[in-house]
Amino acid sequence: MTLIEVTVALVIFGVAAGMLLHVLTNSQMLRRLNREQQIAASAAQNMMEEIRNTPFRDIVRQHDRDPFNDLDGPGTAQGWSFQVDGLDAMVGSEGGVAGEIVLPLINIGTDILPVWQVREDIGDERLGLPRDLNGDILVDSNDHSDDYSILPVVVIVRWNGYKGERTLRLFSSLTQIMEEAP
Amino acid sequence: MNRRSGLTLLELSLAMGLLAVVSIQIVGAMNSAAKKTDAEIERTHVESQARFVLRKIGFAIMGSHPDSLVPDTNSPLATTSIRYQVSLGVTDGEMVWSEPEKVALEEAVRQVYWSDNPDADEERRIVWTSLVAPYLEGEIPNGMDDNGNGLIDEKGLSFTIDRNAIRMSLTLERRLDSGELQQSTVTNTVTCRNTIGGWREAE
Repeated sequence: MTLIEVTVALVIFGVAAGMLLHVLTNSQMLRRLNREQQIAASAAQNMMEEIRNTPFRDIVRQHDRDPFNDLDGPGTAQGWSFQVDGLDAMVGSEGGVAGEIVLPLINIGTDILPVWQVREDIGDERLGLPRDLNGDILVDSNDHSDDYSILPVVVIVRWNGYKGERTLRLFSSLTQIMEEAP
Repeated sequence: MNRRSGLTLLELSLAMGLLAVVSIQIVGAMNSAAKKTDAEIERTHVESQARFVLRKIGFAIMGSHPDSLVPDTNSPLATTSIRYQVSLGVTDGEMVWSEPEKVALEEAVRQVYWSDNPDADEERRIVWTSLVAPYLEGEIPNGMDDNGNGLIDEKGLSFTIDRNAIRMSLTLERRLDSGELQQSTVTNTVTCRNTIGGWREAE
């Protein structure tokens, strides 16, 4: 056996060990990615259930961007964003949190004096808009804050994960149950 | 010319030295990776178990009427058991409700169980998980909210009810071979889906 032979054997041994290590670290990485995904999915589902638990007519007020229309006083409602424990929000994300609730809302006022309206004519593919929200078979440009009968909702979780930025979206169309109908 | 074949002592020593250095590094790295993997696998198992159990509880309670929930406990008070009745369907225009069912923590044995006809002679119990921590992760029994979840001294399984929603948290724990205590906490919220038609306690 020469030194070259020993060196070649060592290299082969090193490559094999390296591959084994690679498999180990890869499986570890997959577990972390799965865990992140599970946390995000669970947070989105829980938030969707919280929204479902809000009286249908109050969902927009409690989950819009206007803190002054909250039912129990300014700033008391959940609002449009939420924190997700166990996940880091993306750098520069609005509000510095990972969770966002998207409703068919548009601000027709200004940034300083916002006026939020529930509209059918918004071009938001995430919510399946434009679509009829009050059951009159028309898609118009009126404010339907008080007469919507279907409310599309998307809960989005964006986080800075182990392998970069990731996003999870959960869509649901909520509707009024009979006992709540006026 | 007299050429020698094979290794000189110097070459052999060099090769052995190289082999030893590389082996030590590789074995060290693999050991460390294996330990990390073991801990991670253990944590994943415990967390998956917690998620599975909460999902199971969620599916069990989802079909109930909010008025059938006992006890009706709101934050900051939590309860370790919940009793409910689920809709079985409609017969002759009337909603038919099941016998009472219950999901609870049995603190003495640190188990979560489901039962039907609770407290009756024919009660049937099924254990859904063991390994439940005495208190929820980060909580100690001191009359304060230590983990900042709005609940005081909540146990390893806790329920709170808000309108039609039931919020539940579960901490499972397992001691690793290294002696480290591995805890996993999962929180889940479900809303009662059967709110139409009123609820009537089964006779």
